[in-house]
Amino acid sequence: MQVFNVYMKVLKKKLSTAFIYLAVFLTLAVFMPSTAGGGAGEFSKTRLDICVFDEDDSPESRALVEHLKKEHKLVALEKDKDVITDALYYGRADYVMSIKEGYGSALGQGETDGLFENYHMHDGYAEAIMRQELDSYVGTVISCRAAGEELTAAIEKADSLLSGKARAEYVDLSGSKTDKSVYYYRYLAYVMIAVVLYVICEVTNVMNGKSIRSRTDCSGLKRTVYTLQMFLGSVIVVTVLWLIFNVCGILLFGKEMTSAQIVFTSLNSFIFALVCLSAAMFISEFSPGETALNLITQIISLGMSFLCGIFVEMSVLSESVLMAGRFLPAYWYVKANDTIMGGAFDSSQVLGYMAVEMIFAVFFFTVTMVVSKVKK
Amino acid sequence: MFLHDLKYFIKVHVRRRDLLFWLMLFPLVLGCFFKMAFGGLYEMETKSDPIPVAVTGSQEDGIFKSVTDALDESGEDILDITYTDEQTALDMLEKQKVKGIITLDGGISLRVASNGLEETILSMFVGQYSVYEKLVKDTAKESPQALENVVASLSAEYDTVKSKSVTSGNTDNYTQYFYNLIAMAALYGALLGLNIGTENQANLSALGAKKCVSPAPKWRMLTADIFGAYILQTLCMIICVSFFAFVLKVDFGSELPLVYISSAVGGMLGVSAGFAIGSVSRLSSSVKMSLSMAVTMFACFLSGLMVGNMKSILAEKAPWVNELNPAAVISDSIYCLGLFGDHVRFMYKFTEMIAMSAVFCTVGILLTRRRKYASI
Repeated sequence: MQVFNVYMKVLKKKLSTAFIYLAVFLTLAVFMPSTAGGGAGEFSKTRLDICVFDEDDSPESRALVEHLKKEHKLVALEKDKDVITDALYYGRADYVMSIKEGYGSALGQGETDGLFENYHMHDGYAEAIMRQELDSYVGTVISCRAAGEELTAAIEKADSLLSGKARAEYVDLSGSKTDKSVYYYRYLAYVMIAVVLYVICEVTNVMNGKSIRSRTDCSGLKRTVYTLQMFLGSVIVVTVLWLIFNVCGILLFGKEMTSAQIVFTSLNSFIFALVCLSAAMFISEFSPGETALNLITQIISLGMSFLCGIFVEMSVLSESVLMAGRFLPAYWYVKANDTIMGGAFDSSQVLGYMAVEMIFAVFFFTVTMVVSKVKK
Repeated sequence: MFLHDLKYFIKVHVRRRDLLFWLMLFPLVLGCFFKMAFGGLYEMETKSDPIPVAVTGSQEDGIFKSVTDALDESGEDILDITYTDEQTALDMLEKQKVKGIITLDGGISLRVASNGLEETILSMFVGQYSVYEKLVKDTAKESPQALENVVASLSAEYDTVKSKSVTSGNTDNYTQYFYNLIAMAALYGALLGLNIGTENQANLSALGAKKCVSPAPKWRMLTADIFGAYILQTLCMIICVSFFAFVLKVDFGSELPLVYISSAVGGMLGVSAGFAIGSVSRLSSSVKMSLSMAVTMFACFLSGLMVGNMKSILAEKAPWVNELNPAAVISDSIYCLGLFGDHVRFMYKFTEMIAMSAVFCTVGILLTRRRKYASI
C-alpha cells in the first residue's frame, strides 16, 4: 500500500483549504438567521419596514401612525431625498410615505383623495399591501362616520376593527422543513464541489508530478494496483468529507427531519459527492497547474451554484437558465433535495433524480478511463 | 530608462496568467453568473400578479360575490379565484397551485400553508371583508336609516395615496451586485501593487535584489512600476465595464463615461493599497498575497457583494465603515451615477478615492525608501 500511504501523506498538507471551507460553512449554518416569518403551525402577517413622515401632526394623523405601528415596523429616516432613495434601494424601508398637511380636517370633511404621498421606487406586493391598508383604513373611518359616529370615535372604531391578529389558519403540510435545513443541504452542494475538486485535484497533481510518478512508473508496481490505491485514497477522502458534513447536518437539523428525510438526504449527498469525485478525477487527468486548477474550481463551483438553484432558488430562475442547468449534476441534486425537504415525497421520483446524478458519475468515470488510456 | 522600466513591467505582468485570471477573467465570469441568476429577478419581484386562491363552501355568498365583482370592475386584479370543493382545494394548496383557501360557510375564513407577502394580502382581504360585513350588520341592527350611506361608503373607490417617483434612474437593486463586482475587480489591482512592493525588496525576490544593486535611481524604477500597474489595471477595468455594459447589458444609467473614470480611479486605489501592503517588509510574499485577498474579499463583503443590503445595514449601525471601506466608496460612486446621475455625491466619492490612493501610495513610498540590506 505504498502509493496509498504517499497519497495520505500528500493529503495531510492539502487539507487546510478543506478545513477553511468546512469552518466557514458550519459557522454560517449555525448562525444563519431563519428568514421564514412565524413558527411552524402559526400564520403571521408579514410586517413591512415603513417610514412615515407626519406633516399634519394632528390627533387624527397620530392615530393613523399608531395604527400603522401595530401592523408594521416603523423605521426612522431623515427627510432627505438621497437618504430615502438609498433606504428604498437597499431595502432598509419597504415603503416611505408622508401624511399630508390637512389630513385631519380633510378626513373630518369626508375628503379622501390624495391624503398621503408615497415616495415610489419599486412596484410590487409591498406597495399593494400599503395602498390597500391605507384605503381600507380611510374607507372604514368614512363608513363609521356614515353610520353616525363622531370622527374621534370613528377613528378608534376603525383602528379596533382593522387591528388585531391575522385572520388566517396555518395548514401544516406534512413535514415541510424550515428554511435553515433546506439551505444547509442545498449549499452543501457548493461546498462539496469546491472542496472535493480542490483537494482531489491538488493531491492527484502532486502524485502525478514528475518526482513521484517517475519513481512509481519504474517500480515493479502494476498499473492496475497503482490506480486502485489512488482510487481507494480518493474514495476515503470523499467519504470522510461527506461523513463530516452529513453528521454535522444531522446534529444541527436531525430533530426537525423525519427518518426518511435523513436517509434520502444522506444518500443524495453521498451520490453527489461521488459525482464530484468523478469530475475531480477527470480534471486531474489533464494535470492542470495551480492557476488553471483555481480557475476550473471557481468556475465549476460558482457556475453550478448559480445555474442549478443553489445560490438562487429554482423558482425564480429563468427557463433558459434552468434548461442549461439540466445538463449539470447539481441541478438534479437540488431537485432531489427540494423534493425530499418539501414534505411528503414520492421516493421513486427522488430515486429517479439520484439515478440521473449517478449517470453523470458513471459518465465522468468512463471518460476519465478513456482519456487515461489514450494518454498512456 | 523610465520608459524602459515601464515597458518591461507591463510585458512581464501581461505574461503572468494567474494575474490575468484574477484581474480580468474572474470578474467577467462572475458577472456572467450574476446576470444569469439575477437577470430576471427584479421584474419578477416588482410585478404583482393576481394571487391564486381557491374558494370553497357556499358559492352563493352574495356579499363575497359582490366584493369580488367590485374588485374586477375597478380593475384591481388582486385575486385569481378558483371555485372548487374542499379536497381539490387542499390538493391545490399542497402542490402550491394556490396560495390559500377561502372558505365561505356563513362567515369567511382563510387557510394558508406558508407566510409571505401574498398570504398577507389574502389575510388582509379576508380581514377587510369581515370588517365590512360586521359594519353592515351592526348598522342594520343599530341604525338602519344609515345603512344606505354605510353601504355606499363601503363600496366607494378610494384613491388616498398619490405616488411621487424618487428617481428616474435604474432602480433594479440587483444591479448593485455589478457595482460591487466592479469594486472587487478594482481592488484586485492590489495583486499588481503587491508585486511592486515585492519586486523592489531584495529580501523578498531575486528581481528585488537585482534592482537594489543596480545603479538606477530607486524612485525612477518605483514610479515606472506604479505607472505600469496603473496602466494595466485601467485596461482591465475598461474591459470589465465594457463587458458588463455592452455584452451583459447592465444598465449603468446615462453617465457611462463617468463610470469608466470612476472604475479606473478605483483600480488605481486597488493598486495603491496593494503597494502599501507589499511594502511591509517583514511579511513574506505569500502572506502578503493572502492578506490582500482576504482584505479585498472582506471589504467587498461589507460593501454588499455577498449580502445585498450589507451597505445599508452598516449605514444605519456604523456609517463610518462605508466611508472608510474602499470597496464601498468605489461601488457608491457608480451607484450614485446609475441611480441619481448625482454629480455632487459622485465628486465626493471620487475625491475620497483619490485621497485614499494618495495615502496608500505615501505609506508604500515611506516603507520602501532608503531601505538597505546588510545581508539577505
